[in-house]
Amino acid sequence: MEYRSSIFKKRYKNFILISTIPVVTFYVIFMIFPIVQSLYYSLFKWSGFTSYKQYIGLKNYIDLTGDSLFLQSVLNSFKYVIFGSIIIIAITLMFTYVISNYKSKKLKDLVQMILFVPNTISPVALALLWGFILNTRWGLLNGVLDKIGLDFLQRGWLGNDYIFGAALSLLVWIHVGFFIVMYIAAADRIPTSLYESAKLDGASSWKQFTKITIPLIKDVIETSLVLWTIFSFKIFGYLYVFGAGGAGADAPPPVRNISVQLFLTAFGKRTPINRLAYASAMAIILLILVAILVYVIRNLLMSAETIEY
Amino acid sequence: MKFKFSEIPKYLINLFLIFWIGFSLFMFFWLILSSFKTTREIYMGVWTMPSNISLDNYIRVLTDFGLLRFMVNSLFVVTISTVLVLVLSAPIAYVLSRLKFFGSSFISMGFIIGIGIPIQTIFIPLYLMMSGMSLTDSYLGLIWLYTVTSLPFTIYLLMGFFKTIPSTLEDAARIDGATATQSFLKIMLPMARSGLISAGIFVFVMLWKEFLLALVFISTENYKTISLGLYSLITKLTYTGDWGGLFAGVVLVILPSIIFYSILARKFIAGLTVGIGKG
Repeated sequence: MEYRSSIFKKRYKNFILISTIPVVTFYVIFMIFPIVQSLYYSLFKWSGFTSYKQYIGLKNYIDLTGDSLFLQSVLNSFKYVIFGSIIIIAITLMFTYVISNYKSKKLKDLVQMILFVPNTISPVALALLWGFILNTRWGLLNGVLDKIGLDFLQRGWLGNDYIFGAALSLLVWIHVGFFIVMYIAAADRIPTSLYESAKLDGASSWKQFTKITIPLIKDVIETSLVLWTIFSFKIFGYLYVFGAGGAGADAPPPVRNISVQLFLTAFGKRTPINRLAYASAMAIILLILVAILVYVIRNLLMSAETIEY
Repeated sequence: MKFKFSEIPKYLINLFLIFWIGFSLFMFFWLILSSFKTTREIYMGVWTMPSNISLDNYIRVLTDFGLLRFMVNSLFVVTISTVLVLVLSAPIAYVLSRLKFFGSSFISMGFIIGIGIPIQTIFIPLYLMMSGMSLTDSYLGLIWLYTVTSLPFTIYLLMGFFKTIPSTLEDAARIDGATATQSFLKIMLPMARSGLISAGIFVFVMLWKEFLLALVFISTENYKTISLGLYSLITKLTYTGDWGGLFAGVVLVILPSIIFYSILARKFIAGLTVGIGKG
């Protein structure tokens, strides 16, 4: 029902004003306006903690193109996007396939809930736990490998050679549980009649999954890809703490995404760089990269036809 | 069940899924077991059992290292923020999902975009703003930030939920001359109760595990939240080589979340997938 009548409008006007204006104002001042401020600060040479502030135009941005630590963090962010999305979406799809075929609703719910658990836990605790597991000397993984006679596979997982993969494995473990909930919810809304007629035609469950389920949950797969792209750039706690390897040091360059590098530049304690203006330039790059990627992904996937059922 | 050749992928994936869940559970079991070990026993390897079950590690981190204090801080800050977020979000989500007025779709769009704004792109100006108002290192500052950063997603979630509620009752009330405030408070809120509870649980859990804002805005022990407090334990405990204490600290942070979640998991997942169900 559309409320076009003027009596209704008048009666609703005050409620609309009271419920929207304060919240929108609050939101604009503390979330939208700061983006403009970041943009403004990024044009200065400024530590943020002194009054010395000099306008330098785009110099911060030019400096960023030659900052090897920053460039590495950008590259890492892309690596998280690409490797993460392939691994996470593949595993989530496989799990969706088996879980959505469970006959018992209870079992279905239970498995999803267990997989989701890491998403409800403090990133600091999970990063520490993952560090304990991968600890070279007394970690669970090397301990298990030793016990089952695969000790030749033991590695210094937290060393520079493996730490990116180790961090990625933590993110995969957490986010498969996140996306599975979305995928199953989407798979559940597909009318069962589609599967019944496919069954009559003698289609195997795998065939049903690839020919019916995947095409019909395409929108959710696409959403998960967009979300993962945003996550790859903005995930902070897991990487910051995991990279510290339990020793409270700064995360090593191989695991840093833009977020971690940005934080260390602005507020890092061990190396008090405190370059707030320079870090603001990173923030703007971060925002632009996320916006472009989301736009590109949406357009690439949207162009393919949508299916109605 | 008859074995079918075409179902082999299903068996393999089920095996993988069982391995995945088994590994997660085993990991957690090992974590709890290790939290009772002394640091010496931890160094002796994965398969050493704790020599005696004592709560020393736990008592030490809870009291000497202040984990209890951090928990109370989190409970205080997160509860107030969650209530504030709901109180601010529900009316606007209701208005945006039900009424068309000048700028309504623009405002909805603005909030949806807000979900994608990484905190990192705004925390520097926020830091300067907050320290200008002496709100860093305070409960008020953190509650403020938690509330505003949770708004976009909560409003989005509630809008999706309100749209699933049929509007016939409100239409009837409107014809009987009810004001918007009346139909919101007397009709919508009672019907939306389960949605509000789901959203509330979701916000609570997300804020409970929040780390970045706390790390930037809090530096004194007095105001540290649970995530930040655990982070500060890392430096203290590894400095003295107290791994046993650190294991206990991790258990103390993980366990309450798991218990809370397992009681409310159904509502939590309902909150998360409210927009997906209807396609």
